[in-house]
Amino acid sequence: MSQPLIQWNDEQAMLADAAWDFVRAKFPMETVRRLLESRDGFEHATWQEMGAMGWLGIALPEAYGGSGLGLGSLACIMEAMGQHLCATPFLPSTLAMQAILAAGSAAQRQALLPDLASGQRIATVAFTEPHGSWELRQLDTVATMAKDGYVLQGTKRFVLDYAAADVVVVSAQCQDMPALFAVEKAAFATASSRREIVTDETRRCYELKLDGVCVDSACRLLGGDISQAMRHLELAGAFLMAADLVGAANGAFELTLDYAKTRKQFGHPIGSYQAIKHPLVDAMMGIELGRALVYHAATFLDASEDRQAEVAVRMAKAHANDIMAFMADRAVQFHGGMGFTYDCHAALFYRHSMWARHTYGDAIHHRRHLAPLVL
Amino acid sequence: MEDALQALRKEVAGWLARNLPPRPAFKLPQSFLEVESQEQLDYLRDWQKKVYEAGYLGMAWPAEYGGRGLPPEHQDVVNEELARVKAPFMFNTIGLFWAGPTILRLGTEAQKQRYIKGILSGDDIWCQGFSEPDHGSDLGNAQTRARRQGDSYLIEGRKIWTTLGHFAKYMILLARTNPEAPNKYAGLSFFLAPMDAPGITVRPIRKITGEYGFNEVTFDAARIPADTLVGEEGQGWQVAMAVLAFERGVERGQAGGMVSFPLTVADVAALARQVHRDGHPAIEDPLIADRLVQFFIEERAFRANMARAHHERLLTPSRPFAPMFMGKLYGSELMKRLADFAVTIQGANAPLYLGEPSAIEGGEWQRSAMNAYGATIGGGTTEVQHNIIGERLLGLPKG
Repeated sequence: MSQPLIQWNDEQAMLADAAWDFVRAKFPMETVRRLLESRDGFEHATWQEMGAMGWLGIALPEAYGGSGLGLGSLACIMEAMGQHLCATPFLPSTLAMQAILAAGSAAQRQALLPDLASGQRIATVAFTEPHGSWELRQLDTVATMAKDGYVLQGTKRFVLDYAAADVVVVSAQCQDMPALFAVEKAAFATASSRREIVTDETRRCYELKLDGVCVDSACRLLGGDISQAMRHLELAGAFLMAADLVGAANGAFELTLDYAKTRKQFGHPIGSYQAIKHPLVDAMMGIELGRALVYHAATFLDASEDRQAEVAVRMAKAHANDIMAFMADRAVQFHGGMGFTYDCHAALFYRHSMWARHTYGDAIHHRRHLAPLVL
Repeated sequence: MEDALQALRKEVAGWLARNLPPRPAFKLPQSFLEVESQEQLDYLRDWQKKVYEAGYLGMAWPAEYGGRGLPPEHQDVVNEELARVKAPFMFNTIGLFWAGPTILRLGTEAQKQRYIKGILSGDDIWCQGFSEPDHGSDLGNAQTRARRQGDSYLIEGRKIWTTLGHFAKYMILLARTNPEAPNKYAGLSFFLAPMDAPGITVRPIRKITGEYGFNEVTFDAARIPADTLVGEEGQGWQVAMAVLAFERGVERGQAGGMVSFPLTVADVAALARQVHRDGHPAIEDPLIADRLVQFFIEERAFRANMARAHHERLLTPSRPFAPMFMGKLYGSELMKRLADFAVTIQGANAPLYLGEPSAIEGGEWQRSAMNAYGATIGGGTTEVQHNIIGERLLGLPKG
């Protein structure tokens, strides 16, 4: 018979408890609001604490300073961070580590991963391009072999936390093959970068113009099947963002539920009216289903990264996108006039939704991939 | 226990391979809600008895009353196997799923001895007397009267939507013993009424599908023994709430099996490969394909959510009972939408219905779509479920 749809062990449960406690304590809404104005969007001290607790290396083997659990265990951390709109370089650094782990040689892994796992250094990924495809193997950026290295030509978008990063994993087409390079940011001294203006002011996204940047040949990740690694990164990104979105949807839900209980109109709390009550129940159900799909995807992803895992991850992201779209919309609408203001927290969730839903694939993208897999 | 369950799964699969009955020549009901003829009843009752006698029903019910006293995971394995082979459902649903667990929890020792075994064997068919013509969703307002007279009660009133009422030996009956009680709930009492009592008349009601299966039951000074009372007089509402928790799947304790033939998205995908639209299999239409994918996602999410209910640490702390509370509401609406979609992909042929020789798959999907309302209305309508979940689970104020 097939494996259980959901498995979650005590170690993972303890990690989840710690993650929720930490994020709740560190990210009250005042902090989230304050960080909107900051350069990096997060506090480096918080990042150091996350590193000290071992969270950054959870999905890395012990040999590289990790704890040897799978990617699935990160669901609870991403979910908690999503619920509290907590921005740290956790997503980009995790994906960069996954890229190095999947595609790097033993020496490259050994050289880069331990410092990233400890939080001493921060990494990000430069994958997305102006054409806007979520297919990581669709690359306009080109790497040309030159003396002692490669010359990169192209533009990258949505490079998260670039300003704070020490290492950037860049994708490029090299001799008609996709390639990945793990580059020290110092090498990008001649590249031009600028912060992009995005809806979600809790995030820091950068455009990176690689106009003939030269990188050392040792930067090219040479340890594995790059196509396979990129497929892994697509799924990892979708999975982590699904968890973030389900958390964020629940954050928007709790905010709105609270308001529905306290805000009075026509002499009664607005939550007593069925026009408010029933959609909130629908949202709650969608969020519960989303949580189920995220932990189902975590279970399958850690069991084996096969077709079944791909189905589960894509289902989770497609559903998470849809429920976040619904909940963020209802959060604004049910706050009435206040919901239309910049200062209402519903706005933060709504703006986060626009970024998060369109990071690592929207619902249509994932359903398009699901069709041949399930039909 | 894992090994024991594995062994059980193998054993049940083998037993089913040998014992699954062939589909009869006559039309079978899709669920317990539309058993209309004696031949349907005999077929389903034989099947239930066979499953019970093989030891695969009521496995978690106490052995002294006819069960086997095993952990519920054993019955779960059997249920999965029954669903996998699309075995016929357990027609005595009201006894097996609702009345039985309620009697086991709240009944007297004598009541457990008298009723449980017959529920499991299918010898005693049960029906439910909750809704009244004027009180459906507002169940607490039920007006059927029960007057104590010596060692019996005289019942006067009408109950409606009584599934299996025309075959039933017993009814779980909610009736008003004290119209002067301080509130409407406190005046209700709960009985295990014998349906052969003089003064009980059962009139069949035809359903939207054209089938029969439920009824209106009239009590004209019907005399039932006083020892059929469950709990004390005035505790009827609490007992009825226990029944509804079992009925809606909020609580576990059901005997086992299914209440209908399962509808799956895979069945609808198979249909979409068979029927043609514009000269091509419907499944090749990307709009149809995308709707199917959405249903696959919903179905997987629903199953994963039910599986999550067993992982305490994965439940949402502010609403740990959410997966159980939402099962009936979400599941019934999903099935209705799915069946309607199965109809709509049939295109211009979609109106062809049961009995029409050219109807696609015999018109069964059209029948399913209509029968799906049995679950979205019965056991508390979708609208009432929204109120209950909003108020009890989310703490929203009553309107």
